[in-house]
This record gives sequence, C-alpha cells and structure tokens, in this order.
Amino acid sequence: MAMIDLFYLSLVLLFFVASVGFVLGAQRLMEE
Amino acid sequence: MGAGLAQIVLYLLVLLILVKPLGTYMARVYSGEHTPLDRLLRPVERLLYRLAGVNPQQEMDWKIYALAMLLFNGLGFLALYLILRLQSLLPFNPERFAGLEPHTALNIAISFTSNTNWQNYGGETTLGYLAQMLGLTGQNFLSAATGMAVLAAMVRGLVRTPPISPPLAGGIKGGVGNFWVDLTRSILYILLPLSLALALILVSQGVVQTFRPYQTVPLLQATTDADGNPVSEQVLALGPAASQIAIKQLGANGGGFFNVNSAHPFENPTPLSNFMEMLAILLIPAALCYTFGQMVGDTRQGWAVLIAMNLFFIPLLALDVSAEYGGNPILTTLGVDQTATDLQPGGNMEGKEIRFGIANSALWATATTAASNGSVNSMHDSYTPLGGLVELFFMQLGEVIYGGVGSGLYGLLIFAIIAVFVAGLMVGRTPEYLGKKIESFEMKMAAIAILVPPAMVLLGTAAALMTNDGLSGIQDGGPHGFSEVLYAYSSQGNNNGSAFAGYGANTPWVNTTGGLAMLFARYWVALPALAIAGSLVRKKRAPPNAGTLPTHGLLFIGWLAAVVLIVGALSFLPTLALGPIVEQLLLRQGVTF
Repeated sequence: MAMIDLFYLSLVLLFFVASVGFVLGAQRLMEE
Repeated sequence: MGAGLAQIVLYLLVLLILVKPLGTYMARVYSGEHTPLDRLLRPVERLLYRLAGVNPQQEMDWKIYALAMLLFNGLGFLALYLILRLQSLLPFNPERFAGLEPHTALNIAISFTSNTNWQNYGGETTLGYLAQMLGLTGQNFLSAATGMAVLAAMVRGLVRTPPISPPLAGGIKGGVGNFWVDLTRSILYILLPLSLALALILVSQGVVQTFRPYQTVPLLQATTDADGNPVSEQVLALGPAASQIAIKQLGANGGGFFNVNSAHPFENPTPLSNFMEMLAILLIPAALCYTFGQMVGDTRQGWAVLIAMNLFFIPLLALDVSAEYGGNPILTTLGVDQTATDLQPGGNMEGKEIRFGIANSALWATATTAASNGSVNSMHDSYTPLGGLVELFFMQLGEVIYGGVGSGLYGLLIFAIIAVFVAGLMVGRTPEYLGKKIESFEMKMAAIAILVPPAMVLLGTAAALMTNDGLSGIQDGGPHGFSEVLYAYSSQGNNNGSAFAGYGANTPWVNTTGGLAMLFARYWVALPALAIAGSLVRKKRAPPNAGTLPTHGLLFIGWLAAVVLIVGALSFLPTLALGPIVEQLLLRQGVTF
C-alpha cells in the first residue's frame, strides 16, 4: 500500500463524509 | 429480418407475462407477507439477523436508513478495493495476476459498489477467481439489493400515513422500513433464487463454471501472429463465470466475466442463453413497477409507470433496430449488398456476432442502456451513429427507462413528483402524488436528484476533452471521437457501465473523475429519494377531489414521459448534436470516422 492508496481512499472517504453532511442538511431543511 | 423481429416481439411478450407474477411476489417480500420460499428461507433470515445483531422489527426514519446505506456501501467499497489491490497475495488466483494499479482499483471498486459496473479492465486478463467471485459478484448482489431497498423505502414513504401505530421506538417520527431487513430480503428472497435458476440454465447451455486454471489447447489450424511467428496453441480462459453472469444480468450490474462480455462464447454460447440473459436485464426493473402498484394499493399506478417507460423503450428500440438494418450508406455507394437474405444478415454487422445477428444485438444494446445494466453482446462503438445515439440517450435520460433494479423506478418516481408539481403550477392546484402533497422540500430534493447526473456527465466530458490524459484514450477522430468520451461519462455519470469499446479509459484521470461521477450519480440521487420518502411519510393522505390529477391515466403517462424527455433533451441535445447527430449527417455525405 502506498501514499497514492491513501489519497484515493481519502477521496472516497471525503465523499461519504459529504454525503453524511447532505443527510444532516436535508433533515434540517425538512424540519424548517 | 422477419425472424429477428419475431424474436423481439417474443422477448417483449415473455417480459410482459412475467411482470405480474414476479411483481406480486416482490411486493409480498417487501411487505413481510408470506411467500412460497418462507419455509426454506425464514430460518436463514432469522439466523442472519441474530448473527448481525439486527432487530427486524426496528423501524428506521429516512436519516438512519440513509446513514446505514452509506456505511454499508462505504465498507463494501473498502473491502473490494483491498481485494483488488492485494489479489496477488490472496488464494484462487491460478493465473497469478498481480494486484491492480491504485487508480484502476479505485474505479472498479466504486463501479461495482455503485451498481455501475463500468469495466476499465479485461476480466480474464486482469482478475483472479477470488476477485471475480467474492469481490465483484458479491458487490453485484449487494449493490443491486441496495437499490431495491431504497425503492422499498421510497414507496413506503408514499404509502404510510401518520399517526403511526404503535408509536415507533427511539422517538422516530416516520419509519420507512429497516435497511438491513430490506437488504437481506432483497438478496435472500429475490436475487439469490433467480440467480441460482438462471445460473443453472446458463450452465446447461455451456457457460463455464469451474475453478480449473486456464487451459492450453492445440489449434485445429496453425496460424501466425502479427510478427509472422507461427502460433499452434491457444489459451482458453475459464473460471466461475455462470454464477457471476446470472446476477450481473438480473441485478442491472453488467460487469462481464470476460472482457467482451456476452459476445464471448463461454459467457453466452447459444440463442437460448442469449434470450435468457437479455430477459434477465429487464425482468426485475419491469416487475418492480407492478410491485410498486401493489404496495401503493393501486396496480394501475404501476402499469402507468411501466407504460411511460415503454413510450421511450419501444420507439427507440425500433429506431436502433432500423438504423442497424439500414446499414452504412457509404458501403451502398461502393456497391456492397447490405440487404438481409437467407445467406447474410445484411445491414451494419460491424462489431456484432454473426450468431446473434442485428435484431438480437440491437435489442440487447437497447435493453442494456435503457436498464442500467451495461453488459454487451456487441460492440457499441461500431453501431451506426443513430444506433449509438439511441444508446447514449437512454443513459442520458437518467437511467429511468427501466433503469437499475430499484434505482430506475425511484428515479422515475422523482420525475413523477416533478411532473405533478409542474402540472399543479399550470392549473393552480396544490400538487399531490398518491394523495401526498408535494411541497418545496420535495421539489428541492427532486431538483438535486435530476441535476446531479447531467452535471457529472457534462463536467466529466468537458474536463476529459481539456486534458491530455482524457484525450489520449480516444480512438477515432471527429464527432465519433467526441461520442466516445461523451459515452464514457454518460455511462459512468448515470451508473450504466456499458462502453463505446473504442475509448481507452484506464488512465488515472478517467478512472478518478469517472469514479467520482459514479459516486455522485448513485448516492446523490438515492439520498434525495430517501429524503423525499422521509418527508412524505409524515404527511397525511388527502382524498382525491375534482382538482386531483389522476396519476394512472393516459394524460399523466404522457405528461410524465414529456417531463423526462424535456429534461433529457434540454440537458444533452447540444452534446448529441456535436457527436452522433453530426456524424450521421456526415455519413450520408460520404464522410466517416
């Protein structure tokens, strides 16, 4: 495993974190 | 030609006949009702819940449901990435294939987790049996079941009304189901039995299913290679193909065991195997329409969405078939006879298997791009520009004409919500779908869901055309080369997975940008769908009144199709004009690429 693996895995992790943010943001929007 | 058209009619008839029984069965699965397989599978299901610590009675609100989906799919991606990178250290790799390059592994892992199954690799020259079986086939089941689970949750959002009785634990205001239960039941009761049956049929037809290493056999007739050296032997790639092919056809996955997918004689050896594999492409997406109708208590609603899908499918299928039977006008001017006779299939046979002919190739190409399957039995890069346009446009419509298992229908339901909203604006009534009021939150989510895939396609194509890495994979010049890039991002940006075979896409740039396109197209459509479900499940159902737009009638079916067409055409007509449309016009003037 190399640095480039960490880069790609971080990229995908970032996407899933952003998706969690999407869920929380949408929930907040729904409650308004 | 007559026999080919008769096969297309037979295909559509068999598909139609199977919609109701399978749709009814799946509705029972998602409603938790008794099914004929209960005696066999209930104990297995209970055991799985016990092992996983899942309480199947526990309802989830949309937020928990969505987070469970993201967590599960994220871990699935990681497991597949590691299998692909480390396959040289893992067992069941008789050809001792090396671990994949990081960017290649990234794209494949995203591709199979997101149900896209875009293939930037040749299966038989890249992957060992463990990677194919545990890695790819495993994700074929899991990603398909994820799409079906999201659909089940969305339909419950449309069906359920408050107050929910008995009250849900943990302060949950509106349950849309339990992700783990929907996932488990989709696999156990639907995908596994169908895959087992189809795999056995395929094996009976000669599709290989073995752990033996590749076989070296003497050629019946010796030949020479490109350098003039004599060649007297051939290596036959083998492997556990039938089990993977069955689910990749049924689950709208599409990633073939062999590089050329079902054009390979070991993946698709006979007319019957071809028919069954084609049938499997549309079977579950079509039947899910009836499941939807059953779950909402009005099967007319299910037939309505199925008819709306076929308002696109049948005319575009006819266009594709006629374009391919029409052949290449340049060849006609050279005196080549392209008419179909008893001795030749006629038309444009470039890139097609002679044993399948034009009708069965064009039908597969149409079905595989309408559904988000993506497997092929002919090379789409070699279709006439009009034929290629049909395949491109099906993907660009957002994979809602049949689409992926589950994802196609929840995509179309989002379009239905937009359709009733726009119709409501036109007549000044509060829009409702199945008695649930459509308000600003639902529209915001629907807007995200229909804008993300086109953004991925257009931005990805534009960026690829501005980079050396993106341009380097183009095989042909002019508009056809543009179509190759557009096809690659249309396929990845709508989770289809088929390829214009001419484009060499296994580069760090295409793998990374295509990977991101697949992620956004999959999850940033599924999440808004779940959010809409979470919002609708809290709303009471309004009884129909004089101002209600009936969503099972011909007017709504036509209106829904118009909305899908308008969104698709507005988003993609300029790119289609730059690619297949101008290529078709130039072809008529004798210019080819």
